[in-house]
Amino acid sequence: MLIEVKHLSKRYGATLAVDDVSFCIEPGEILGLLGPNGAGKTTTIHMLLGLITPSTGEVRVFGQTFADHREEILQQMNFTSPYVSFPLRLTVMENLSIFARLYNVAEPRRRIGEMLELFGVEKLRNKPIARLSSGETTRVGLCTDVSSHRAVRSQSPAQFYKRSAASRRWRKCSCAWCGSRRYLDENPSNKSGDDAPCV
Amino acid sequence: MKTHRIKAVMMRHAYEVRRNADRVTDMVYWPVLDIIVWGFFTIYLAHGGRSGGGIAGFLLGAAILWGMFYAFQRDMAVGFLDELWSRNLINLFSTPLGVSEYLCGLIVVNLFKVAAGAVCAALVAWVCYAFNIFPHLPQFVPFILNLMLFGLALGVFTSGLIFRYATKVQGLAWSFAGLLLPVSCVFYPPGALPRPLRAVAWMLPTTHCFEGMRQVLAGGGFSVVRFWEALGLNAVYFALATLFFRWIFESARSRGLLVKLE
Repeated sequence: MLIEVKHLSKRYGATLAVDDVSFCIEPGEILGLLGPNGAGKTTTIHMLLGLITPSTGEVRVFGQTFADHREEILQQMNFTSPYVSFPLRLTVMENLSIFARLYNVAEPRRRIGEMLELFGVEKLRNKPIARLSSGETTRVGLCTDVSSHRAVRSQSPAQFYKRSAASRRWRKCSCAWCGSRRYLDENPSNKSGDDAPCV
Repeated sequence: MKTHRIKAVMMRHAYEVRRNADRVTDMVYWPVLDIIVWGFFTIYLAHGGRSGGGIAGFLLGAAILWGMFYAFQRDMAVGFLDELWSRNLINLFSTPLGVSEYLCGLIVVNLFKVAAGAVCAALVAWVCYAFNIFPHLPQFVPFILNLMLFGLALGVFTSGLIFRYATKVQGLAWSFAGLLLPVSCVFYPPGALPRPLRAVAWMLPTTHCFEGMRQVLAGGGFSVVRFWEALGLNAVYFALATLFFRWIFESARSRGLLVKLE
């Protein structure tokens, strides 16, 4: 089991943001979280990342809980979103170097170069984030997945990345066990097929 | 804690210094400007025959050490604010980076920044006002470390408040140390304070450090008592600040504030 969510709820005072959500994701499986604004998709994802503590329920990633294995879990996951950004004065290369160091990536420069090429932003490597368009910043966000080694190089995920980079409303996590990608997408406009919204 | 993640935080803030003129200004400009102003004041005192008892040295030494304390406390809080302003907090804490690793990285970078600023200020004091702090450094170092520890405790406490109240209280990053300036006896001994405030002053590690500094400059040697009392108080304040920060951080995760800070 890659991700196991059992009876997850989040309450803020009188507001019930997430109500008894349960799902499982097996290796190689894709799952989309769809719903209108305020449905609790983002809150659920934040609970999967350990950024928000659930009110009730349990999240297990790779069979482990965040309380005991936060570091091991997050070492295998990556997160990007249009509502987060980067230090604006730092260049693309500097920002990605920090992520490479956080994930302890071997040969960081080569790996960053590969990611920049994959997302078609290699010409931006020496530009400060402040000078990028929002679309370019989103693509740079995808490049923070510097720690993955296999799946991103395969053709299908690469095509997915390239096509969906512009949609800017999805998140992803990766599995180092099987090498497959998991996309967390909250954009209902993303439909099925290769562009399916997915976890 | 992993060193590669601490180094990542150090890289992040070192790049910020390289790219952000504001950080260079904070690091060098203000400490040097302080020394220039206090230096002219000591010249004024000397010309009026009012600088007996090595008061010029007291003032310039105090200005350098206070500058270090203030800069360290400010940079701890501003380093955290930098993540908030650039909406980088979620990026960082959705990686394996832990809060203690983040703080360690920030502390190391800030120690370098404070040292750079202090060296510049000390050189200006030496070249322009004939006050050489360097021979006293071996006796000052224990007090400087105490000042850094207290600056760290205040920085952690301020960061905790920012976690809870976000940028609404960001002004504390620059002003919190200033609140303590009158009762820290930086430029005058505790005896100059009204009696009720003296008790408050002795509860602050800064007072012990600056009293220790004055004793060194007056030729009285290193005060072991001042050092240990400052260290003991620092241990208490640091423990309280850490507990406060951990409580606020967990509370922020529980209330969903960590992802909504702005």
